[in-house]
Amino acid sequence: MLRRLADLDRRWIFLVVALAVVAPLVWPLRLPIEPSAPTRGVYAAVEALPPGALVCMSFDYGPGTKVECHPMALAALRHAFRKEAKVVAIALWPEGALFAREALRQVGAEMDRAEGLDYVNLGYKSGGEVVLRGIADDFRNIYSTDLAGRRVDELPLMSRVRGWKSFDLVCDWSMGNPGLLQHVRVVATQYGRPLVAGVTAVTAPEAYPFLNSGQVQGLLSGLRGAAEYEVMVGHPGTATRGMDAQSVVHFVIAGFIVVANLLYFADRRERRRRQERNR
Amino acid sequence: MTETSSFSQVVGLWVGGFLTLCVFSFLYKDNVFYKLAEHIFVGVSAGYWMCIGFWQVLYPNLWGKLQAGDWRYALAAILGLMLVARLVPRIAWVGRWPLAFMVGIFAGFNIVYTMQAQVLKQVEATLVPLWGNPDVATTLLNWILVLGVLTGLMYFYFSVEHKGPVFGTAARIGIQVLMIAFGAAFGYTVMARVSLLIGRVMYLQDVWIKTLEFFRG
Repeated sequence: MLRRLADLDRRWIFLVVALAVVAPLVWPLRLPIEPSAPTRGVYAAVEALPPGALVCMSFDYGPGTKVECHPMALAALRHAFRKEAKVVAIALWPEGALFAREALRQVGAEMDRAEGLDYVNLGYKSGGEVVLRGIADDFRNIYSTDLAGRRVDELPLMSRVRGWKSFDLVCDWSMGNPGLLQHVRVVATQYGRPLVAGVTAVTAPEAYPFLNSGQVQGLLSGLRGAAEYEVMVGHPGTATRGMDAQSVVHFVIAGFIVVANLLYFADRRERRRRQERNR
Repeated sequence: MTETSSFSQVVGLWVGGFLTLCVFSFLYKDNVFYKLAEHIFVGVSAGYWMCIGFWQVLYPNLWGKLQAGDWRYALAAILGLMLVARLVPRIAWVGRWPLAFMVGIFAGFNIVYTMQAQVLKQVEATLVPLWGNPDVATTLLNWILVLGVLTGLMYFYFSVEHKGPVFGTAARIGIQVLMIAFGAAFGYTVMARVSLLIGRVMYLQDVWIKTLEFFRG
């Protein structure tokens, strides 16, 4: 039995993982989601915004990590608009500008917010940290038009925006580099603006030291962070739905690790016994 | 489900679904469908990033500025062209000048800002009270933080052999701390990869399959 398990074709493991993902998506378990302290930090930062506050959201992700980062952005937009905040979107990744447009249009339509008045999408600029530093005390140093090609000076909301100091809060939805690190270096450290972030699970371990040092006030880590924030905002979405599958797969993988270790130790003991017998 | 009002959108969604299944088919074994998806991905990515590089980087940041009459950017153009000289072995040395310029600029930038954001702030965050905290949990966490940092640093101190009660013990604890950190990072990586799988399954379930409604009219 042990030998058969040890020699198991790994495709059976793929099949079990696939079933563990598909089954909870088809038949939801609705497992409870308890917001963690880093997520509560993001919520508290947005909740503390006064009416009419200016928020900059940086969409620094691509299609590969949309499943993790996009729900964070949607939840934060809903939360910010509910607080009557005004949002300026930028992107350090080319596809980020398109996701910003999708998110702003969707949530803007839901909450009856107007483009140019309540939100602006300035689009993508190449250069990563150079863009953030270039903005400095005036966005017009870098952006002359928005994503749709309208002149920045003709957009009513932009009359209130100069540089980083204009913003009450900066949010970064990041899948890597350029992303959170650049915002920490420029926005939080150099300009001292309050910064919250949502990052992919892969990059979360690199982001936690910034949370511990207070350079980032709140942090959403991967799909779990997105789901927690959706629950706190009171608008469960795709992240919340995906968490059932995530939890079940984690349970399955943990089971595999335990079984594999048991097999390893059993195999090692058997080999030792055989060696002793041969002596 | 996203809007599937037009035939072209439906075709796009079906191509997305088909290519997703092609990639997943590799889990069974390597096959022609996987290879097809792989080649399409490489080709499309190369073309996409070339267009992005030209239209989003080179055109607005160089050509646009020159057209606007900002001739300072001519210097950048010359430095850029000098980089291309590396392709010709006889004059490859010309490429070292712009390279030296870039290395100098980035080193200058990074030394200051890395020290500010990633060294001094992090050191400051490790200076936490080890006694007199409001609760036991905070005290315990602070001890773990300080000891973790110190033993981790001692593990990477190679001027003294990792032996004896001080360095030997500290380095052994340090490697355990590092292992715990690697374990946490691995756990997060698993979570991220599973999330990607969940994203594709949701796409197939919510978007791809529902496009059948388009064909039903």
